[in-house]
Amino acid sequence: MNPLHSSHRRFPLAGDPGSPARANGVTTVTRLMRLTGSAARTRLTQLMRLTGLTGLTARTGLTRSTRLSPASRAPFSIRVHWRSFVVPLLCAAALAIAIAIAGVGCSSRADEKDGVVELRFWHAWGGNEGKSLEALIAEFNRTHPHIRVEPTFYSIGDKLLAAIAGGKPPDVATVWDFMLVTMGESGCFLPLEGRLADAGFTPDSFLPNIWEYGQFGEHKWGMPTTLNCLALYMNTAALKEAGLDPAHPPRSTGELTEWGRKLVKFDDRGNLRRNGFVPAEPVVWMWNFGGDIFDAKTKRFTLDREENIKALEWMAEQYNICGGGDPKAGLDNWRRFSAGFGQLDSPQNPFFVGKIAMKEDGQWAIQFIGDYSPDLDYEIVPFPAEAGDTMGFTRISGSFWVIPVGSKHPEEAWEFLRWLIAPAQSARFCARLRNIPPLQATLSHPEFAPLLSDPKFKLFIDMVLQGKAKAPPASPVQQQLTEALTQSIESVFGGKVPAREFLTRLNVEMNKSLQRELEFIGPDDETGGGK
Amino acid sequence: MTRTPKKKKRIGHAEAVGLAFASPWILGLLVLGLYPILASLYFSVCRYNIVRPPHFIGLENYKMLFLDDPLFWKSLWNTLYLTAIGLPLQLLFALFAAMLLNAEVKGQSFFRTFMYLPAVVPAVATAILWIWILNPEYGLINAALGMIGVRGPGWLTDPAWSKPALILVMIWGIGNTMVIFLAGLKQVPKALYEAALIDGANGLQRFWNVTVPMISPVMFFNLVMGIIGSFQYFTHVYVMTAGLMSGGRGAGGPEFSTLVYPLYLYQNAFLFFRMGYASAMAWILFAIVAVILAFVFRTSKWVYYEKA
Repeated sequence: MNPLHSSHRRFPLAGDPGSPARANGVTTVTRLMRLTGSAARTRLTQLMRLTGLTGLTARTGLTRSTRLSPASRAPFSIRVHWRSFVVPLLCAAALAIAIAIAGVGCSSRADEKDGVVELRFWHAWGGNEGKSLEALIAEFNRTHPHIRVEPTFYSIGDKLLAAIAGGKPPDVATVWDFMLVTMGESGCFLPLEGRLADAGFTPDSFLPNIWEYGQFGEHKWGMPTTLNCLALYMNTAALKEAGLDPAHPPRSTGELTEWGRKLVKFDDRGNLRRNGFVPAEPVVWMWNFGGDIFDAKTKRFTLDREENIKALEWMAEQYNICGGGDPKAGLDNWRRFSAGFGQLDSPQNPFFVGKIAMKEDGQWAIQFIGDYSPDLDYEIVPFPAEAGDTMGFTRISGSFWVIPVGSKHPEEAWEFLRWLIAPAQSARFCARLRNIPPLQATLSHPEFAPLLSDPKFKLFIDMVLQGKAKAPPASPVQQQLTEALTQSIESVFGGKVPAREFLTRLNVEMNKSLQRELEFIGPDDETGGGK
Repeated sequence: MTRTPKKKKRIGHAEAVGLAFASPWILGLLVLGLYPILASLYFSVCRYNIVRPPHFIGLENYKMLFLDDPLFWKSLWNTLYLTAIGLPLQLLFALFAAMLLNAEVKGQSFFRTFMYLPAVVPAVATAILWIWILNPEYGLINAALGMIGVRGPGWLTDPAWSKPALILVMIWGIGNTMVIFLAGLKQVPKALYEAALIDGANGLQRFWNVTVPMISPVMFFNLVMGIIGSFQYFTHVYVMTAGLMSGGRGAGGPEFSTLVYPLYLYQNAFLFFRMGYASAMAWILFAIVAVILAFVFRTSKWVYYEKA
């Protein structure tokens, strides 16, 4: 039952006979409404209006209700002169205008008092992370007397889209990386490349691959806030039990498969008790097989490349291991097993309790382990590549700060953003979050540098510095691709669809979708240059 | 509304005042009801992403939906499946429960309250509760099945079982339908049963020849509401397959087996920013529901109305 249906609907307990039925012009609907009581009647009328039922019958009811054949009887008839609507409508219009005037009157320039510009800032950090961000904002407000930043915590989603469409967006907002290009190319954000150039930023100001991160066309729609990236986490106790040496991690994807086989454990009924390794990042493994999903030059998806097909077949193999080699049982076992996993940020994290021996995880997990399972003995190594490279590719993820179109104070918003991404501030924020800062200069900042003494954390920085960390190519149809790569892809893992067929079909679909979006973006691009 | 006399008549003072008082509602209807509906009809023939002005493209959205979007057909199939199988089951169970509750037993009102309770729980709360009941490893259902030696299915994690799992949740929430049936049952005159008894009708005959015709209008009402409700089925799937924090990402799994029509519509609008496309979907849904309901009304000869 949907909420509309269940929470509002009243139920009739006593029969409400209503007015005596007329011989004609009474249909099942009328009888039904009579039967079900007045409250339900209102509801039914409403629902019928919503579903357009009245449109089918009432149209005729207005004029011919008294002489209708039984086949097209009207449920009820309305006979009111049109002039009777004029008076109430005028009254209502007057009321609406009055309210509008009153509203404009009291809200004029509420965001600028005594020459101080007020900036509305929507961010997505709660708890202690939010507190450290708010401490930064307090400092900004102190040092910049002409601007006052008002931070608000929000959960990233369609709220921002609604605010932008409604013309009252925040001046600075946070969005996930996978939304950035879709929203940006739709005209939601101000392009920043001109401002970045004026402020002296070049590709070299950023860590490798970060300049390209979140960019599809010529525009930069946001600034990365902080970065995350993935590596292979291994549970030392599980490895030792299986006779594997954590000091010599898998050197290729083939070896990783072998490790997974040795680590998996079943109970006597064939249920998984411990899993070795199940990959969840198709794009990362496609890179590590030498493939890529997108060609930035031609702006075409390349999902059907041979390397990608091999990567997907390899991923499916890891799932098969969960079923002792049988694809269907493998996926089913894995799904049952993973449905019982505890929260990641809790002591019940499946990796902490030894349910999974190896997994892809971000550098944030170091913090989680410190908080929830400090005694856990584990190792972090880079992903192996197919060709035998012990430092394979990994994925960058994170969020972006954007200036929405419709911001009343883009200049001040940019001034705030520039301050926020500067090494002094970014170092403090990233150190608190244990995230990777986007700017090269932040790494050596005294507030951040101490983190590099932890070899586990430093591994992530090294991967980024060596150019092994990349962001999945951004495109306006990114969210669509993500849905397909998390849902339909399971039909490959379960052995229902061959990897080649899946990727070939998906590639055609995605290119078609992208083409459509590009046609739309092209002629209507009115956001102008980067200033 | 009562019918005015045939001859045309200027509206009187009383009507004018009455309509003036109703004007906020009338305005609300026009601005918040009629306008968005008409606007969505226009958007359905446009490229529109909310932020940029709509760009007219004719029937392109409809063409793409019908010819070039496998997920559209998949989502339509999922919704039809839930309606065709879930709704009859819901109605049967609701009727059965109502008949039980109609029995004169001690603690009748307690049982009635008890059976109605699930309908009072907010949809999101029920959904979260059911995630755990249906959990293949720790869930109550599979634990019970395990006790009799059956390895329960993966429910929400298995594409073959996810729709039956949703139907199970639907059946649990039949409270409203049940209460309407109960009201119908209470209205069946006792005299009819007594007459049937004297004629020697057994329980089944009394049910089939007295109860069913007498409550057929209520059945019809529940059927109509149920069809509308099934086509709008959204909240449970949204919460149970994606969680509230994802904003609709990953919903409708596994393998899109629970991607119901309104969910795909929502994703198109708010994840992929294709408002025009989503509007086209909404109008197709409207057309489907209208056709089905027109058919249901046309074939409603089985509904028996007592002469007033």
